Amino acid sequence: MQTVYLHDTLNPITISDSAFALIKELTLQNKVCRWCEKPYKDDRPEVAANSCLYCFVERYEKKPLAFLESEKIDQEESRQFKFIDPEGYLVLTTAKSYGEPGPSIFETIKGWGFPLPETVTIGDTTIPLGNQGWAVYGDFRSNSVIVTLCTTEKSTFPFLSYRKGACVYLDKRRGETKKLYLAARHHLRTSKDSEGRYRYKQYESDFLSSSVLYPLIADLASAQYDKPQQERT
Amino acid sequence: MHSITLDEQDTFVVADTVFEKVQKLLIQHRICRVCEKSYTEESPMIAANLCLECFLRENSSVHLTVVPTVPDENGVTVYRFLDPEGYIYTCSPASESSEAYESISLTLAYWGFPDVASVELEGKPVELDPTDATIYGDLKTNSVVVVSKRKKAGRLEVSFLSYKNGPCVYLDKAKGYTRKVWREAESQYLATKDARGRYHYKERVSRQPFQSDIYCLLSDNESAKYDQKT
Repeated sequence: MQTVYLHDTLNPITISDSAFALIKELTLQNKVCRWCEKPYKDDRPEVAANSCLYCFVERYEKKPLAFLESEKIDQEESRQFKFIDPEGYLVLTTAKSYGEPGPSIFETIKGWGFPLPETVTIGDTTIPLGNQGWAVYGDFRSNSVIVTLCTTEKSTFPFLSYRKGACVYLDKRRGETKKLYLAARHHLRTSKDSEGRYRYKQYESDFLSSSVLYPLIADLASAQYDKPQQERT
Repeated sequence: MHSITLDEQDTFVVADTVFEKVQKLLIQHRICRVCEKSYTEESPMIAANLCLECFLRENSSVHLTVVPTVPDENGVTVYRFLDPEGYIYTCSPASESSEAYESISLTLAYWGFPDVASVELEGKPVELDPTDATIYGDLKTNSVVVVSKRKKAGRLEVSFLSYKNGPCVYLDKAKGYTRKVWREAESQYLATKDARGRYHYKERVSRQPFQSDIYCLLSDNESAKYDQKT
């Protein structure tokens, strides 16, 4: 026994399993894009639920959205589609993506050549980090170093990620990363404006928040990292 | 262009021609959600995804019997069921609920008693709530019943004498013929007070007088008179 709904109504129609299989086959073979009403083809794939490639790109809020590539993601011929928005963020979709999918920060960071750790070890504890809950600070298109932040159920872990290099835990209390952190704090404290606000580029805050600190740390670390290379050239 | 949701989660858009085919398949292969059997003339779908047999089984405590269907104002078939007291129960064809509900308007119509939607009181029309109504009197044997309704969005209750296949008369307790018959029924009822101070209407015995019993007695009295006339 199966249920079918027509026209987004809340009135279910109960049918037999055999009829459901027939209807499912008929429906899947004859899907059309809800915007242009054209059937899907190899050069007009369904990139989001009921939306073809062209209509999806045309209707995406942040324009222009550029299609990059697609890849098979399972045995059932399902494909994942990769797009890039004007700010450089990568957007991933499948034919089951409803609404307007936001950018994938994890894929964006990796896509721009910055490594991300799979785990973090704090003291004796190793915590696994997935591909969710990531944030990025610093311009990942031009910087050679960015700050990435992973929020897990346990805590929030910041990292310094070097393009095509290493990814190190941004420890505020010890080592080289502590120096960077303190330098950034000092820089912000001295640049406090007359209204008592901390500002860096387009970021501002009433207190020394990570939203202002981390972009600055990313830039300071990039400058440090780029300097010896520039001197060499 | 139409949408079809399968597996309770995935919605697909298809062209008109394909949708028509899907609709045909759905009509041909609809089954009852309880017994999983196809609908037949003997056991049609009477509520959403529910066949007649399963509907009656699920409402077995009310002891309903099927009476012929009628079309509503939109031409949609209304399934009707009679309970042992003569009340008509129905179900909503669009509702997922399998529960039968009592309908006063369908009950009055079934037994040939006229109904009213509004009444004029002190020269002003008063709209009555069709969902808040009560019938007094034996529907199966009486030819006159008392119907009480409430004013829409108000507490005011107004009653009527509903004559089978005849008029529906406002039961004015202050003047005219209706006052006279009301007074008669009231006196008759109050006279049933026994040595223990209890009032009687048929098998019902109560420590205090009830207006509902007077209405029932009025229904009996008026029926006797109406039967003689017709």
